Amino acid sequence: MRRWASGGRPANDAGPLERAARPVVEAVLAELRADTLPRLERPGLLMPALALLQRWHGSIANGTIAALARSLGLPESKAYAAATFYSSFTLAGDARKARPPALDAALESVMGAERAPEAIRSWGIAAPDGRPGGALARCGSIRPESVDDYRAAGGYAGLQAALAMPAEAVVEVIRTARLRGRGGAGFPTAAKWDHARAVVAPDKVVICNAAEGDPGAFADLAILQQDPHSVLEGMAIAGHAVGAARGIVYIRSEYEDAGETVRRAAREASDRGALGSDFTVEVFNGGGRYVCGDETALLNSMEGAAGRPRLRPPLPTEHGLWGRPTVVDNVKTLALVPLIMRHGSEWFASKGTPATTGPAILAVSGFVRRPGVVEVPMGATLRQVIDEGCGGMADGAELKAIQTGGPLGAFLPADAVDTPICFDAMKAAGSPLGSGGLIVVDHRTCMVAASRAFAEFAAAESCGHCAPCRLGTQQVVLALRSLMGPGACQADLDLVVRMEAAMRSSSFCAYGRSAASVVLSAMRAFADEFAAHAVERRCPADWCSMEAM
Amino acid sequence: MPNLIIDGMPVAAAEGQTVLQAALAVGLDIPHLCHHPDLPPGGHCRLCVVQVDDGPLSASCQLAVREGMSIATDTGPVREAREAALDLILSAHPMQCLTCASNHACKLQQVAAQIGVDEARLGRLRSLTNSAPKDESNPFFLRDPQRCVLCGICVRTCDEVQGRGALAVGYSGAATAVVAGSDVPITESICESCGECVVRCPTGALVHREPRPPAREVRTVCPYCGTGCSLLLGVRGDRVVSVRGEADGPVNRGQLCVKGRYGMGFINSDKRLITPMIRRDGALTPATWDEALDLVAHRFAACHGTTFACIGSARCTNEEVYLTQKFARAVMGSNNVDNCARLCHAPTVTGLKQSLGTGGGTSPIADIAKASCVLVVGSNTTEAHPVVGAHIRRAARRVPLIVVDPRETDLAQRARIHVRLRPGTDVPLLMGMARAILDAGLEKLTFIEERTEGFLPFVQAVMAMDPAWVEETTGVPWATIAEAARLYAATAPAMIVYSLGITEHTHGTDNVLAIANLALLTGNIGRPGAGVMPMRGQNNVQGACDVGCVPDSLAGGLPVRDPASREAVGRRWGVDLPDTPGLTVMEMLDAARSGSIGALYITGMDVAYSAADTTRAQEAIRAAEFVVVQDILLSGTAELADVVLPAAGFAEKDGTFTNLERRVQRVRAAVPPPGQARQDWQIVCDIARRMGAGGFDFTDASQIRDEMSEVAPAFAGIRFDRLAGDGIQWPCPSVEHPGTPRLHVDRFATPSGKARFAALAYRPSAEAPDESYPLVLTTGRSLYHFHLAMTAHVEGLMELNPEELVWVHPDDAVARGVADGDLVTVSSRRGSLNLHAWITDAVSPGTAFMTFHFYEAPTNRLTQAALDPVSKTPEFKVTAVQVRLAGDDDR
Ligand SMILES: Cc1cc2nc3c(=O)[nH]c(=O)nc-3n(C[C@H](O)[C@H](O)[C@H](O)COP(=O)(O)O)c2cc1C
Ligand code: SF4
Ligand code: SF4
Ligand code: SF4
Ligand code: SF4
Ligand code: FES
Repeated sequence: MRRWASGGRPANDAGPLERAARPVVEAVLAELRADTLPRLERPGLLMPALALLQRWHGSIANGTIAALARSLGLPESKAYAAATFYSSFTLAGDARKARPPALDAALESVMGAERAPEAIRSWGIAAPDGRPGGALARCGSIRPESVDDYRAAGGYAGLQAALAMPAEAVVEVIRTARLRGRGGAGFPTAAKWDHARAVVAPDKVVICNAAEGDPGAFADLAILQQDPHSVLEGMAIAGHAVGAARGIVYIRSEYEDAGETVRRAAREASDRGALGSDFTVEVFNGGGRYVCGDETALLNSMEGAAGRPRLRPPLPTEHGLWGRPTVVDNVKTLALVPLIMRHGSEWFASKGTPATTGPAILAVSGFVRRPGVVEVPMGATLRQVIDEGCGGMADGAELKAIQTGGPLGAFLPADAVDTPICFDAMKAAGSPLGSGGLIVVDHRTCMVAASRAFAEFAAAESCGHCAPCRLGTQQVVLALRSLMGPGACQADLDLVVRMEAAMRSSSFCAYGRSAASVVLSAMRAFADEFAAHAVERRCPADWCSMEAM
Repeated sequence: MPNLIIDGMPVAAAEGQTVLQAALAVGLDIPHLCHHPDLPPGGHCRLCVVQVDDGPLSASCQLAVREGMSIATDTGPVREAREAALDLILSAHPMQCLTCASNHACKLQQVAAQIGVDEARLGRLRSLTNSAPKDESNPFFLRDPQRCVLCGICVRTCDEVQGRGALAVGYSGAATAVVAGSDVPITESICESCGECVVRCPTGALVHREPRPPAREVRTVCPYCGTGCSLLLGVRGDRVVSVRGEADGPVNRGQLCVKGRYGMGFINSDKRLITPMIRRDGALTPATWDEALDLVAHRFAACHGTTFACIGSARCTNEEVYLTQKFARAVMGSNNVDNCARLCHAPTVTGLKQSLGTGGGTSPIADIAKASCVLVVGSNTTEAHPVVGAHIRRAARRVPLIVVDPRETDLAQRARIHVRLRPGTDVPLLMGMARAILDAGLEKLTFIEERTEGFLPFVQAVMAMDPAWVEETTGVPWATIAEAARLYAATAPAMIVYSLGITEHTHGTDNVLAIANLALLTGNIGRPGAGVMPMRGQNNVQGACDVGCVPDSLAGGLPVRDPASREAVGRRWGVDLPDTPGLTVMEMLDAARSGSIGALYITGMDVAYSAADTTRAQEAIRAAEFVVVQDILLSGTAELADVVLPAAGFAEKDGTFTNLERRVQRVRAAVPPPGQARQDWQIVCDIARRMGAGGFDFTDASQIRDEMSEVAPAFAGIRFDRLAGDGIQWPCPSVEHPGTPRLHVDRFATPSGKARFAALAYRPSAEAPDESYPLVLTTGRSLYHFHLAMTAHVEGLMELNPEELVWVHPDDAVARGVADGDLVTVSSRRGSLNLHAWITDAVSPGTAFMTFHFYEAPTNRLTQAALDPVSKTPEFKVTAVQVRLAGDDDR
């Protein structure tokens, strides 16, 4: 029989593969209780469904995407595009998508960066009663999911205080505390909330951004694992402040276990009425793409699309998830909010620096004696964090540089180690604080190799939407690979500079604009080392094999 | 109107414009690659960056204009960024321009020239080209991912223009690529081969297979469906070598469907008729025009009066069809003149005339975009009227769509509510909806009081429709019916689109009345975005009815029975006109079978295959004493004729077509007719003159149009010289009148000026399934074909849809032991066909579906000639059939 072309098929004509996949898809959707969702939101089940399929079957069989797309009301092409966008799904028969090199592994080998979310140290932030009062103060001393434990340690008092106030007053408290968002940009939280509050709409959403994709960042993970109620409380306060009844925690796919912890905590909080009368929190598992940490990409991925950033304006506070006004706040930001409501904005503002108030919550890894999560008042220096928080440099390691701000950040050379931790001071020193991940680099590390690890990450994680970032990151990788070998030359350096400039000036989103900044900062701070590679074809750290085979 | 400064020049921009649009509007060409004027911005290429207020760079295609902003398009930083972005794009491009089909037409070449490429500078970048294989699956266009610049234009086009969503940008990072479906060859995806993305692709990544640049282009109208898309035929010598959508086309704004864009192969086909033929010793043999015309004139002369019957062509121009019916009436003295509308939309004419006073659609197609709710009943619009379908798909992205259809069509799948009724239960369903509206108190009482009559009897008839009974009869849960009804009634303005699913029933006129009832009940008529739009099939089926090619009315809808009308027209023609309405198509065939038709003159209609019950129809044609067929191809009907006359096709003639929104548009000759083929109107004139008749001395189609304007008041203002641009929607009573896009704005065209509700009762379909014929067969169109002959001569269309299939529900297939692709016998009480089965749940259990596009499996052998008593349209949509594995005995 000669088949009709598909356009001539009835739109719902399913091929045999799709028909075969239907039962599996139906089972997944039943598990996800798809029928309880409004039609508009059903495409948002794409990622959770793919994740379940992957978990149940190890990979995603042919025909499944088509069946899933049909059930969710998405064109098959869009569902397939989304499925292939994320790195955490394995599609049968998709040979094209070689997994990108895992940066964590590369960093470990080059720079010794390892996550250590269990090791938590909080000091220098006393509550008004003089007891330890930082956001991490409870970690390790309470059962994470227990509402009772959390309450006994002073939890949910902030929410009680907030609920007793009008919404504007809550925003005012946050404003006078001068809280700046800890997700990376340091944007004043009150301004964001005020914007969302002012939009008149029936359904608003509060999203906790737990995408935490920065290599070397794991503070969010620590909080989610060990003190999830602090985040839930912060979300409920935000909900009251902006008029949202719905909270969603967007959690990176690698944090599946922490997600379960949050889910259980949220359930218990709801059952106990701890979140106020009408606020609920769900957990949404992401699909493993760094750029999904960008709040607009995050929204796309929650709507069942590829997690590529959206054009702004409109801002999410106006037109966010499913078009609803949406506040997206980082885990750490939200965990700080209850403290402010409990202890008052003056207390909060008195910690830290005038520009950046409150505690800094940092994740330190690399060549320090005791990597871990460190909470100090803003204004403490990097040196204090390394020495007092992490027991100093590891044996035999000498400080060479500190990488901050994640893949969109920079390297600070050792002589900047007295920079105070504060959004503005760090920026002035040439490396953003970002979301608080610090990777301590020692003298044996080759900065070209370290840069290349970041460049590979940047290229692999480019969403592919715009030419400068998609292609520029690849050119940078090729230039750095060349620099690490016998063909190294000055032109490679020049090309990196030119590409970085192009990406910075004209990329579509913040990712591309900073995707080569780590490399550029290393080239600036360690010009000699780069020149040794390019001109002398020599690797001072003896890491790169510069000779022709 | 925001004022801004661009490169020191004050520019007054329009509200909502982007900086790029504002600049382009004043002739300032900022380089851009991924911007397309028809599409929302993509922001992929970043070539369009500009400097804003001396600050950072910004992509001008995404940057909204703001009062007082100052834009610099050519500063150092801008140039550097632009050059770098261009170098990057070029580093990923194969640069084999000489062997690329887009050479010279390539937007990438243009921007590269505009920005300037420095070879040394570019040379420092490493090659990032990919090695993905070409997709050559589509017969009309090629995809070459190596040449793709990932501008996303194809994806946005398929989403925003075609509304199909076949493409997406898949993967990420270096692997990023455009995917069709699950990254399959494009013909395995839901792509409809419309070519809209190909037209817009800036590079050689999507190209037509045979790009042949035309020497000149001629604007005309698509010959396929009643949408009436404007197209540009590209001509080289005497051949049509290319087709483009006319950007100014009032209906399509440049858009075309697969048939309009790629279906013109029949024009130059070597199967075209190029010489007259006369049956001699049983075989059709070539003859001269003189021989043929003399014979025809001689034989016709012997059949004056009611033994003469004539079928006009809904494919011909208005002028030709007008002349055909004039010939029948004035020369042959017979009102036995009809056209193929009898087989499709005659109930629309009778029904809408009865309820609203005019037998045409109420609204312009553009009104679909203004509707807040669209209700589609019995119309597979995306396949049968694809460009209107695209309008509906675009609307459905914003507003609720309700689809009433037994099949799960493309639109049904996009619908907020799909009402999957049992075939033939339209009246209970639509009256049930009326009941739900009344129950909910959603009727528009002021409209009803001021503008309608017959409301009380209507309400009584509605209240007789008991919900439980409606549910039982239609097979649709009452809750669904009520929800659909309330949504339609509560979301004004709402548009109803319907088609043959409504009309091709023995209760077709009732169905149309039921549709009109709903619109009247909710006041959805006479306003922008509200109305009733029948999707009329053939390119000029609206026109054929308008110009009087029907047995009961003259041009402009003047009734044959009305002495004054007859008088007026007869005076102009210089004859006395016959006063009794003549026979309809199906009645002509019956008359022929019983031996009472002496001469049957068929122009451009394949009646032997498109009439219901073709065995009977073919017997009838054989039984007619003398049959003349005038056509462009040797249709199945022509094979049965005594004389075959070769006619010019649409690309070879001047005249007008009237589309489904009553828009009269100019058709223009692009190439000469092949061989000895001649214009239909010339042939008619020749026959008439040979018969000694006056009034057939035209030398040009415009003269015919002028006569028509005199005869029919509704067309008085429609003259060729007024039709250069958008055409004119009738009624147009004077040359100053702009035409009437929207009917019934202040008053209905009934004598009282009020619309009439119809109190309807349910009449079951003529044929009910029983033990021997347990399935209900419905029929419809495929996107890739029109009727039979034309698209059969377009190779690519045949490749995309090569044969007839019967669609069977999986449950029914299992019960019969039939697997997908098995050869089955489909039989009805009238005949049987062998064809392959396609197992799909797009049809409901107990129903089957076939199209009617293949001579090898002529579907209408199965259908029956049971007629709607008012319009005499056969019931194509309900046929009781059995499906069995071929070779299985009757059990
Ligand atoms: C590429 C990219 C990645 C980001 N990743 C994260 C992330 O992992 N976690 C996070 O909280 N914010 C991330 N952000 C910042 C968010 O877009 C957003 O600003 C933040 O969630 C706001 O929360 P805050 O105000 O509490 O900082 C990222 C931004 C970009 C551009
Ligand atoms: S800069 Fe462009 S390619 Fe890179 S992540 Fe943003 S949108 Fe995607
Ligand atoms: S195929 Fe053409 S239109 Fe589509 S993304 Fe590639 S270059 Fe653009
Ligand atoms: S040809 Fe038409 S349907 Fe097919 S992908 Fe292109 S725009 Fe979409
Ligand atoms: S929609 Fe109809 S008129 Fe338009 S191009 Fe297609 S077949 Fe022709
Ligand atoms: S035209 Fe503006 S980014 Fe491509």
